[in-house]
Amino acid sequence: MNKEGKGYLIVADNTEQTDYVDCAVALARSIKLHTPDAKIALMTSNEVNNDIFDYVVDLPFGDQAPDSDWKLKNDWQIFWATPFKETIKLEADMVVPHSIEHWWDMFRKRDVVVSVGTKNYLQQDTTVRMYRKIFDKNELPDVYNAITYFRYSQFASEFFSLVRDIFNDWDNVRTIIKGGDADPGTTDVVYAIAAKTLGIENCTLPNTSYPKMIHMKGAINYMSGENWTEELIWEFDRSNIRINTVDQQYPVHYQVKEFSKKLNEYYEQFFTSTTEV
Amino acid sequence: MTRGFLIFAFDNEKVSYFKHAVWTADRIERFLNLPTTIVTDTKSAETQTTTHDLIITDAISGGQRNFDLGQCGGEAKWYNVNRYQAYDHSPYDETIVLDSDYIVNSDQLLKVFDTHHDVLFHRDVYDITGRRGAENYRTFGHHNFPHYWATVLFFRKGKEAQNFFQCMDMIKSNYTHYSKIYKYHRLPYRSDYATSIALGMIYGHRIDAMPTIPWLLQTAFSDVKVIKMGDTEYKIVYENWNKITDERQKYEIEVKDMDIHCIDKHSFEAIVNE
Repeated sequence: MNKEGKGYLIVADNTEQTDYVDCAVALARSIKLHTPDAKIALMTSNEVNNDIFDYVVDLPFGDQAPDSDWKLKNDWQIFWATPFKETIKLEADMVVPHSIEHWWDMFRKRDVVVSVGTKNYLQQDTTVRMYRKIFDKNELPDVYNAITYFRYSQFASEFFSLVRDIFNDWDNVRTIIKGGDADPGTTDVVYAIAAKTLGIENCTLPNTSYPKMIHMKGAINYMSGENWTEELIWEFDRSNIRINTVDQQYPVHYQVKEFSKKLNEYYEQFFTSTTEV
Repeated sequence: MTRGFLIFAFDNEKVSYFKHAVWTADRIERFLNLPTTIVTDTKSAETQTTTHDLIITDAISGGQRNFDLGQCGGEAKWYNVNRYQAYDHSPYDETIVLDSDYIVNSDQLLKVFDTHHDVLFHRDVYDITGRRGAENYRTFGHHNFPHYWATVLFFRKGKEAQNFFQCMDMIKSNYTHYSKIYKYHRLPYRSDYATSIALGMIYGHRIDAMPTIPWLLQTAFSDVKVIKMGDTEYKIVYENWNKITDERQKYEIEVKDMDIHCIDKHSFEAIVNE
């Protein structure tokens, strides 16, 4: 495939439990509302025909977890699947309420940039570590793969090859790292190990306010439980989203997958296309 | 461009707010050379004569409050809701709405009028005892919304300030609704909460854009005694844990020429009666 300039790549494979493609449609719509010229690709093994996506690409090496409801093991394929020379990969259960086009300039200082740290709905950097114990125990960088930039380059190839190898060898890797027995091989941990192996300074941007996302996990947002949609109010204003009245300035990782239904119900009015899965 | 101060002061069975307001207005005149208008009710205004301008209105109660913290029997009605009327009541183009328990000891507040913001108040407090007593006031509600202080509230008349006070009015009228969103106690009414929420509204719900008076509000909290030693000299008496003896110990510090937000009403009463 001849790769074109730059674009966003969303990874979404439906499972029995979760309609990830619906999440991806909502994410793509949120981007196109403020950046209509953005190129957006979807990597999926589902059949998807929705013109919100400029590209729908299959997993080049096939589904690596056919019997699993968790498709994390397919993530490394993004490097070979992307139709772009420069890619920002986004996890499907996010929205991008404001343009992040200015991020590209900063990203170009590296071949790979994985976002570091996260914010709460008040736009504050969180200090909550209860979801990141394995990172602290192993002194791993606090990376979040949900936003990852990569350029079609030798280094990015090495990075994602290493990510693939760690995923495939997880049964051994988990015995080496502290607390690994309790981790099923989550993408953030795998990325963190890859980043630490290849040099954290080569895979992250230190001392920058972005890339960064709002993470809607319970403890990060002073909630009693994990479902923020039951405790906080939300309002939509085109691509803007306000959570408990606070305007969200960064991509929002809403994590409660059913929320995509609310998003698409709202976004529908701005688009004429329909999803066919 | 006219400038002045506005103090809301409605007496209850426990606190003579009007007397406090007159005392504070006298000091504003002396240290800042600016006029003060006191917004009060007939009953309070009859307690003492004053040369300061008065606006007589009905006091609105925000509920019961204990005015003797740490003791029983100090409950009384708290008339703290009228602040949303400040825009309409103020005769000045630029106004500082000041709590009646603010001890003016310098001309520091004149600097507030230099701001280019049309609505401005304090985000952060400095605990005068250094005990980090302000930590619990950084946020309010279960989900930790930023807490601003209505103690010193500057506004310049115009569209933005008008919007702000209309928002305060709306919040006051729907206070239970907002208490459910921000998850704070519905009673008593808190001006600080209403002003914090209203400021968020006029800044487009972007809390990183909300401005603040660029210094900390020097505060003596409710468990701190403030004793007047001279015209602008005060002794601050408080207790703290002594880590060496492992028991509570009384401490004293002295401050001079420093404005103080004196929350302990008994201390303030003693100062005013001196």
